[in-house]
Amino acid sequence: MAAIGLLLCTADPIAAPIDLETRMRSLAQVTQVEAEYRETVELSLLDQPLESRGHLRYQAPDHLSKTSDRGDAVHIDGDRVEVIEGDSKAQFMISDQAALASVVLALRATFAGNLDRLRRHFELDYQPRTDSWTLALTPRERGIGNIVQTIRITGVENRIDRLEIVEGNGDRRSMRLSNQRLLACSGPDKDCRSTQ
Amino acid sequence: MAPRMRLPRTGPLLAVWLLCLLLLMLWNLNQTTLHRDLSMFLPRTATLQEHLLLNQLREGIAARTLLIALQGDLDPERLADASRALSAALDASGRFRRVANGSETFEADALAPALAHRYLIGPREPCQMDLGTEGLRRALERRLDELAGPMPPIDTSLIARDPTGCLRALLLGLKPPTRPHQRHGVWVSQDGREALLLAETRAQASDLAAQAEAVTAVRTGFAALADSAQLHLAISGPGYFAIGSQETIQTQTTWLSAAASLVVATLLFAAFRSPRLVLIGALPLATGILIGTTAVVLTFGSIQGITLALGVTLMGVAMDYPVHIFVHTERRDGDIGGLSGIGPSLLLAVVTTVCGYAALALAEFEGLAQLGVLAGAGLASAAACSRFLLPALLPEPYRWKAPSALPGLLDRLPTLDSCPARLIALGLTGLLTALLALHPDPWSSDLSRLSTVPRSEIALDQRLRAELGAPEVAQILFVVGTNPEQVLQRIESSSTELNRLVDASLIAGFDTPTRILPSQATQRARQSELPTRDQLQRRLDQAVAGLPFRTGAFAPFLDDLDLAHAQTPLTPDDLKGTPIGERLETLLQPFDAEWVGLIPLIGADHPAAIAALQSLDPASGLRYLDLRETSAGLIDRFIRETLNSLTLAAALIGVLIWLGVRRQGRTLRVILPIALTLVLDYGLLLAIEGAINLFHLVSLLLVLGLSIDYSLFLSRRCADPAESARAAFAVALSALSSLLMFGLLALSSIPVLHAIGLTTALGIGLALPATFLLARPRRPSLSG
Repeated sequence: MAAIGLLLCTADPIAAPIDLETRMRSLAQVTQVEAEYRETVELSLLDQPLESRGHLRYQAPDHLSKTSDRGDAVHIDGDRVEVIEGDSKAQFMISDQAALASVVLALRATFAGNLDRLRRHFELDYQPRTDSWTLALTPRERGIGNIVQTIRITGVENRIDRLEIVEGNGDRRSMRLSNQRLLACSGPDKDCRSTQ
Repeated sequence: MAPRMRLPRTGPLLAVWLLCLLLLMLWNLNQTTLHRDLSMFLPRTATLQEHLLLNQLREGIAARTLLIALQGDLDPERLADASRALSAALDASGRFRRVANGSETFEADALAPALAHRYLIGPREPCQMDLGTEGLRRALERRLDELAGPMPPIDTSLIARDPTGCLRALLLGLKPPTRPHQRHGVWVSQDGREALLLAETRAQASDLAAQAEAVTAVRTGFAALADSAQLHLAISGPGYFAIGSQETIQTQTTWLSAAASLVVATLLFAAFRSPRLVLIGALPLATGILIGTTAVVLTFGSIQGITLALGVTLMGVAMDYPVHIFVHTERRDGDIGGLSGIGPSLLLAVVTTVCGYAALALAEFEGLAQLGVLAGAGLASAAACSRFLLPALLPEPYRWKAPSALPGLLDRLPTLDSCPARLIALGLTGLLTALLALHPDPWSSDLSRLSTVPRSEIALDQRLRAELGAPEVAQILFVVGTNPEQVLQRIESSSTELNRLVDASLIAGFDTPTRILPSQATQRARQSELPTRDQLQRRLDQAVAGLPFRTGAFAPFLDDLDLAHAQTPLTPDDLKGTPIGERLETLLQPFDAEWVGLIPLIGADHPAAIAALQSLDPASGLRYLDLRETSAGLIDRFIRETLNSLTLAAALIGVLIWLGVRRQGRTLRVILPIALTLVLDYGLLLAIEGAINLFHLVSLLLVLGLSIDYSLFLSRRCADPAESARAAFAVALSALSSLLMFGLLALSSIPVLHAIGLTTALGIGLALPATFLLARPRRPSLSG
C-alpha cells in the first residue's frame, strides 16, 4: 500500500469564486478525512464554556467517528450510532434523535459533496470568497428548526475547517478541525493519494 | 306397469319455479349478513381463555394491522422518500389509526400529558429516587459528562427541565424491544431493498368491507407514488388475508366452478343429447342452495361465508338426483312413469344423507351447526324438486334410451356378491379400521392448514413479520377487573409474583401496562412522596456546588415539580390518541363489560416456565394463556365434536339402511362398500396429507352421502336388466361428473379447497369400484 504523499497545489491564478456545484464536486473527491478537533460548547445552562479535543475521522460514504482525548468515542455508520463512554457502550439509531440526525447529515453530506441531499433537508446559503467559503444550512423541517437554527460550515478549497451550530435556545457549539489529512481513495484504504 | 301420474304443464311450472328461486335469492341477498372469518367457527360455550383469544383474533390490534413492503431496485434515499410519501398518503386517507414506517418522532404535543405527569408515572429511579441530594448530584455529573462527551445532547433545554433524565427513561421504556433495520430514517428489510410500513386500520378486523377499503387506500396511495413504476407493493396481515382470501376464493371458485360446470354440462349433454336437460338439471341444486341458506338465516339470524362454501360442497350429492330422474323417467301423453322403481332408493338415499348432515346441526360449534342445517335442508329440498317437479319439465314424449351394449357390458363387470368375498371385504374393513385407529395422532390442529390463504402469502407474512420484528405474542398472563384502575392495581399487587418468575430465571421478562401507566393509587402515593419546591431547591443547591451549572438554570425543573404536586393522576383516557396511549391500549383493553390487562411474556417457551405459569396461584389474579395451545385446543374440540356427530350419524344411517332394505336382504351389501370407501379414503388421506384436518373430515361426510347414493341404487335387484343398466349408468355418470368437479378443486392452491377436492375425488374414485364390486347383486335378472 503506497499512499504517496503527492501534494497537489492547484491554486487557481485567476482565483474566481467557485460555485456551489463545483465546490461540492471537489469535496466529493475527498473520500477520507483525518483531523484533530477542538470543540467549544457555550450553553445557557452553564456559566462557562465546555471545551474538548480529540480526533475526527470521515470515510466516504457515511462513516463518521469522533474520539475524545479522554477516550470517549462515537462511531456513526449509516443509521447506526455507537457511543463509548468509559466502559459503557450504547447503540441507537440516528433517526431516533431528529436534531442530532440533522447535524450529522449536514456534516456527512458536506464531506461527501452530496448537494442533492443537503438541498433536500436544508435551505442553503453559499458564500464563496477568494480564499475560503462558507455554507450556511437552515433545516427545512420546522420541528428541527426550532432546535437547530443554523449550521455554518467554513472551509478552504476541498477542506472543511470549521463547523458552527446555533441553536434555538441560544446555545452555540463550534468545532475547529486542524492537522488535516485528506485522501482520495479508489476504495476503503486503497490506492489513496493526498488531495491537499 | 308402474303407476302413472298427471303433471302440471311445463311452461307455467318452470315460470313459477324460476320466480320462486328469484324471490328466494332476493330475500337472501337482503337478509343475509355474511360473516367470513374463521374465528366465528367456534363453540358457543367457550372458556374465558378461549373467549379472550377470540376477542384478540377478531378485534386485537394485531388483527387490524396491515404489513406493507415497498420492494424495488431503487436508490435507498428515493425508497425512503417513497415510504414517507406512502405513509403521508395513508395518514391522509383517514382510514388508519396509526401508520408507522420508522420515521415518526414523538411529537411534543402528543407527549405533553406524559411529560407533565412524568414524576407520577415515569420509572422510579430517575423520576423518584434521583430527587434526593445524592441522586441529583449523580445525575448532574452524568449530564455534564454527556455535554462534554463526543456526542453531546443537542437540545439542552430538556436538561433544564429534567436533569435526572426522567422523561428520557419514560420514553425509552415505551420502545418495543426489537425493531427493524433503518436506513435514511425509515424501516427497511435486512438487505435494505424493501421499505417496511405498518398500518393499523380504524375499522374493526371483522368489518371486511372496511378492511377492503383500507387495502384499496394502500393501493391507491402506492399508485400515486412518484416511483411506483419501479416499485412493487406487497401487503400482508389478517385483514388483507381476510379480503384477499375472499378475492382469491372468489377468483379460484369462479374459475373452478366455471370449469366444473362446463365439464358436467358436457358430460350431461353427451349422455342425454339435450341442452334442455342440461339446463333444468341445475335447478334442483340451485333450489337446494337457496332453501338451505334461507333455513340457516331463519334459524341463526345470519350465515357464515365458510358455512355457505362448505354447505354448497356438501350439496354436491344433489347433482346426482337429476341424473337418476333423467335416466329413469318416461313421459308420454302427459303422463310420467318409470320412477316407482327408484323411488324408495331415492327416498332412502336422501333420508340417510340428510340424517348424516343433520347430525352436524346438533353440534355446539355454531359454524358446524349452520353447516348441518344448510346441507340438510338444501339436500332435502333438492331431492324433493328432482323427484316431483323435474319430471314435469322433461320434453314430451321422453324416454332415455340406454345404449344397447350397456347390459352386456355390465354383465361382464365382475361382482363379488358371494359370502367369502363379503367376508374378505368385511375383514379388510375391520383390519384397516383397527390399523388406522392405532395411529397416535391423526388430527391436524395446525390453523394454517385450515386457512384460506395460499401458502406463498403465508410465507410472505412470516418474512415481513420477522423483518418488522413483530413476533406474534404467543404466551401471556392476563388480569381481569371491572375498570382500568382495578386492573392496574391488581397487576401492581401481583408484581412480586411476576418478579419472582424473573428472579427464578423461569421467564426472561415481561411487559405490563403498569410500566406505561401506574394505577391512580400508586400515582397518588408517589405524589405524596415528592419533595416540596423548597426541599428540592435546597437539595439542588447542595448538588450543584462545584459544578459549572448557572444559578437558576433549573428553574423549569422546579416549576415542573410544583405542577406535579397539584396534578390529578393520569388516566388511560388522558392518554387517548397519543403514542403512549396507543401503546397502552395494546395491553389494557375493554373485555365485554370488564377490562383486561395483558402481560406478554418473553422467553417463557420452555416446559419449566409453562409448568410454573400454569400453576400460578389463582389468588394472585394472574391467569395464563397460551394462544397457540388454546387455538390448537379449539380445533381439537372441533374435530372431536365432528367425530362425535359423525359416529352418531353413522349409527343412525346404519339403522335407517337396515330398516329400509332389510326385507330385500341387502343390508350388508349396501353398507360394506360404504364403510370400505370411508376407511380407505381416510387412510389414503392420512398417507398423502400426513394429518386429517377439519375440512377433510367434513368432506368425508360428503363421501359418505355419495357412496350411500351409489350403493343404494346399485344394490337394487331389478326384474328388467335394462332397469339395472339404467341405474348403473346413472351412478357411473353422476360419479364421473362429481369426480371431475372435485378433481378440479383438488388442484386449487387454497388449502381449504384443496382439502375438500382431494378428499372427495379420492372418495368417489374409491366408492365407484367398491359399490360396483360389492353392492351389485350377482345376477341382475335372477329374481325376475
